[in-house]
Amino acid sequence: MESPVDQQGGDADRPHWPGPDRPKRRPEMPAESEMLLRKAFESDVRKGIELLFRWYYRPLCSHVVRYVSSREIAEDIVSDVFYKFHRDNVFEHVETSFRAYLFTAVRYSAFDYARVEMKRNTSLEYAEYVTLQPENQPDHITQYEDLYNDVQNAINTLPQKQRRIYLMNRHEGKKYAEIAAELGLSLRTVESQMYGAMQELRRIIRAKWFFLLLLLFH
Amino acid sequence: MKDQINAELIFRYFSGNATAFEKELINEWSADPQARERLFIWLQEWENQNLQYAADDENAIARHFIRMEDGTPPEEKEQQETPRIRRWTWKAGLIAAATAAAVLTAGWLGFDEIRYQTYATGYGQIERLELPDGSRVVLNANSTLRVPRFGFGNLSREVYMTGEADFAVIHTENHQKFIVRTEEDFAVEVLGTEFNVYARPRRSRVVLNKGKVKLLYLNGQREEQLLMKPGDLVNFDAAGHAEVKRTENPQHFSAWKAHRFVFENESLRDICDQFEDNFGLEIHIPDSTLAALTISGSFTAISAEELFEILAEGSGFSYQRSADGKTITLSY
Repeated sequence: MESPVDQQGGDADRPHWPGPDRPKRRPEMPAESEMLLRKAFESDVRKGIELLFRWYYRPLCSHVVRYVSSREIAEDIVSDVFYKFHRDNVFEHVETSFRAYLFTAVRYSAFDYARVEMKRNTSLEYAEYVTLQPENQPDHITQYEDLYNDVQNAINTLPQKQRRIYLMNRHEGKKYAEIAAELGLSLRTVESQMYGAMQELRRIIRAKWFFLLLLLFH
Repeated sequence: MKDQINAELIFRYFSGNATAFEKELINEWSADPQARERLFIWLQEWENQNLQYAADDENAIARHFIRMEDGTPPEEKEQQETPRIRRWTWKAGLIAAATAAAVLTAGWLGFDEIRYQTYATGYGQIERLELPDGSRVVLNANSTLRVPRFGFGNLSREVYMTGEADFAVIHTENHQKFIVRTEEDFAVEVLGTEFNVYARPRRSRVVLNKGKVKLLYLNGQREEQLLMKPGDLVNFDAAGHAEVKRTENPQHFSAWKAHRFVFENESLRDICDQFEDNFGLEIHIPDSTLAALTISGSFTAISAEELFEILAEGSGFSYQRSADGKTITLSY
């Protein structure tokens, strides 16, 4: 019996469809890796969902946190995707692997989150939370990696104290009061450092991404 | 092209170390659904090798199934215990009833002071109350709440408020309605839920935390109704038009209970309007660009001045207080 752990390995010799007349049907699953998962869903949806969480929840959260740099927000985004996957019985008709569906969906949401963030603190327009339409995804898959790498680089440019406070709050999920106690600072210093850090990060990301994000989603 | 795409290149790409040329290759290659399947296998592998942190999947599973049953996200347990300032007991009720009998015979019933217990907060004050039915109310600064002394919880549950208040209403066994009436031509009708009501002449707003509420309001001369869902935020303009919005964080609108201010994209002018009402100040912002500056973030401040100090530092404006301390001017 295969265990989830060896599912993720490569299988370089799977057949490729020739490009142009690629059939509309579901692509062959590389590495048969989701067989076990599909079987679990067939016998008991609840068991299937549990397995889905155990396989994918962690890598998905780890991925999303690179864009949103908050565990809490990352987990909300990932949990929402799982929720819709279950509620709408996506597992019955999804055309790709569950893995590809989940990663694609959380990356959309992470991108959309960046778009909303971008529009904060600007008087240009009011940030309405518009649900992302599938056709509005970035043109190039590499824009996803560019975005989270830019976010990480921007965090690295923050002054050390600010960065430390920012990461303690956003990454480790510590409350302002806990950070203040741990670093021996006043609550208000922590709050003003956080505010300063958020402003600076938005400024950096906006400089490169603002117009692109607006174009993408409108 | 496929031959050039391998795990080593893709991992380098995930880490942000691919060249522009390599990215171009990846873009072309990944147009194919099968290539994308491969990409996500590698992404999963790469994330598992470079976990940013180990998310708690068991907890996530538990929350997921709760949410599937309820249809709503599980409640964040952030509620700090609220110390009770006033506890109304049935004994107090009896005494009140006895007094009432005396009053009745004296024929004084017409006086509001007798019929209602009135709570009022001054500028900068917050008060926590518990009503006879166990429902809890937190009154924000410069606000009032009137509660009938007699029959509350028996005949009906109706209160009258001005200013801003946060309600946690208990659902009674007999499903008795709880009605909040305001002076701004709207009322909120609920069975048992948590919500925040802001009812001042300049603007009115209701935010629903959980459960369901019915809004009754006057739109011009017409009486209208609106059902709110958790996360709904309804703003009323001066003419009585209702505008329904969604908020991701309804609890932020109750943050003032802990002297916290949470702003989601609010203009400095709107924030100052609230401060004028809460702290009894007059705030001038002569520069219209500054007035339109939108602010997001969460701050702890006991006074308006403390908040301006933090904001001024982050957003690059300054503030002056007049000699009598009543007027604040913000400028770049």
